[in-house]
Amino acid sequence: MAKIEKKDFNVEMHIRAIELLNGSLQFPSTPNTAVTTFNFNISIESKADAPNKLVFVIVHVEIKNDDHSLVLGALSVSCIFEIVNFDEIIKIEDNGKLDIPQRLIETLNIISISTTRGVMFSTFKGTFLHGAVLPIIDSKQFQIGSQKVEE
Amino acid sequence: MNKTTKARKYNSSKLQELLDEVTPLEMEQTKVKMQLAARIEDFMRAKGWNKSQFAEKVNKNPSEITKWFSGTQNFTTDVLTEIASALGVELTELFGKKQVQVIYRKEIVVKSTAPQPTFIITTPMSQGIDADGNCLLTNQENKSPFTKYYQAYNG
Repeated sequence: MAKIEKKDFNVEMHIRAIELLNGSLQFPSTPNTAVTTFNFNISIESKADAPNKLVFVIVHVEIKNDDHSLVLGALSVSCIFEIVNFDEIIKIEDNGKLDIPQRLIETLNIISISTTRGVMFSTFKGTFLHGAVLPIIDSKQFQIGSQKVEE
Repeated sequence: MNKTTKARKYNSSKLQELLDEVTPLEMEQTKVKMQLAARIEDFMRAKGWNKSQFAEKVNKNPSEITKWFSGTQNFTTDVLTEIASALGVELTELFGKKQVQVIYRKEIVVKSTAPQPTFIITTPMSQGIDADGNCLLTNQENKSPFTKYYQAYNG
């Protein structure tokens, strides 16, 4: 079990499951031209299930060619985390919305992106997307002004 | 001997014709009914009840419960309220209104360049040569187990 310690909170969590939701690739019309530059459109969505103390982080990755004109492949992975001390860490506001610490969101996103990178490599290994390795992403990119999203 | 039963794909033009007759609305109605039945069954199992016990709670026959779980039942609001009450859940929860809430959503675009593949070609000569100066890998006389027989046949 992992522990994230900081002055203000101490999260106890573990990964409950990793699921490959979707994986597809589209062979380019010009197979003899090697694709060496890839663009990755990454979409991350986190959902919390308070009664079961679960957080689902779903990462969708769309791999495109250099000029974004062609979708070469896509993959979706869901990482399910169990937050043991969910009630201590995540506050439920009066209107029912969940207030989750930014640092926890970042940590879960980093873990999920890394997991997706591995699953993606495993899925596309040996194909023309073998070299499409998801680059390292700065955790600052996950920061947003407010982490609360309307349902 | 164990017999394994596998799902078979069945393609039929008649079946396709029938499916084509189903409108998207009817398809959605069927889907909702089946999801509703599955949700009720999930809640029943979560309570640790079997069909007979659940039937007792809602004052119905077990056969009626079986019909509900078939996914074909068109429930009335009164029946659904009764079910929700027996299961101790909110009526909306039966419709899959789960407590799962979106807490974060973000889209990022990143770019990467794959390294150019490199090929390392090693010639067979690097494997060494024999006393006569022949390559160990390419000298068929030394490598082929059939050489002697071949020579005898031709000789």
